[in-house]
Amino acid sequence: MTHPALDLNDTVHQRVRLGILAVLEEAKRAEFKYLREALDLSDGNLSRHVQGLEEAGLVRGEKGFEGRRPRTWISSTPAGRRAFEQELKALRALISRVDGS
Amino acid sequence: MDEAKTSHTLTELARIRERTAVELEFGWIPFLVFGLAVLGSGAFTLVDDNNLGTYWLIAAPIATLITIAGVRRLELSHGVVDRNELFYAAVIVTMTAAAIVLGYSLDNLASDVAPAFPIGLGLLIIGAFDRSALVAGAGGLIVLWATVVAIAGPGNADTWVAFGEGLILVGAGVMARPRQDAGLPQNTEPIGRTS
Repeated sequence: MTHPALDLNDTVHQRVRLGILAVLEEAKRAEFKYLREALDLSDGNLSRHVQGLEEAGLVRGEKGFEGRRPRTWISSTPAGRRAFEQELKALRALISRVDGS
Repeated sequence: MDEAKTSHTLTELARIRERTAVELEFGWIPFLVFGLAVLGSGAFTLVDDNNLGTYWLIAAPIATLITIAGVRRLELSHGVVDRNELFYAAVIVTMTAAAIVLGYSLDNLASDVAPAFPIGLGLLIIGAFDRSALVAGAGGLIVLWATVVAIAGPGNADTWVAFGEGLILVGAGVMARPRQDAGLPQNTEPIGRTS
């Protein structure tokens, strides 16, 4: 049996990135501004993490306009949702391993 | 990552998901819109008891459009879109269409009470899907009310069914709304502040 820590995904295993994926687990898509406020991040910090997740194919960004107002919507890809579920599973396995020892 | 930190992260993620789910609670809009349309149908039966089908052919699309516009507006102002919106839309359209077809195809008492059953069943399905006691309870109450009216068999059963069903829907909408306005749980430590 492998150690649960080996199942952790290096791209996802970061609290802000997990937070982004947690929001997108519930919402089909979320506006950049919503993610920034919900996770209490700066624009630059959120951009950096979204870009990291986007490059890994875990989220996708979509720019558009509602009237004259520009909006950026972020949604998770099927791979992103799978990665989030696997990360949660690995984290829970880590805890139960510590509790059981 | 130590156990306490891992446990804290999992708790934090659960709270973020809960906050997002609260932001996405737009169910009070269709409850209120369709509830008012059903109450309107009850008033309509007092004036014209023979053309309720025509009333619904006009009222159902209008209620659907108002619901879509209301939900869309809230989604844009909140900045989140529900993952299950197509499922909800499909159930609402199906139960409304089934109610109209039953009203048209049956006669007498059956045509008065039968349309309430697909509405109640549709809400029970959404309630089970969402694990929402409020939505399932409203569905169950509508089925119960239509059954009571069917057994009692009053002369103007369609009026009784419509007013009962409309009040249940509007009541559920009013009960669902305060949680939306109550805002987000305040006990969540912002993830950005601790990263």
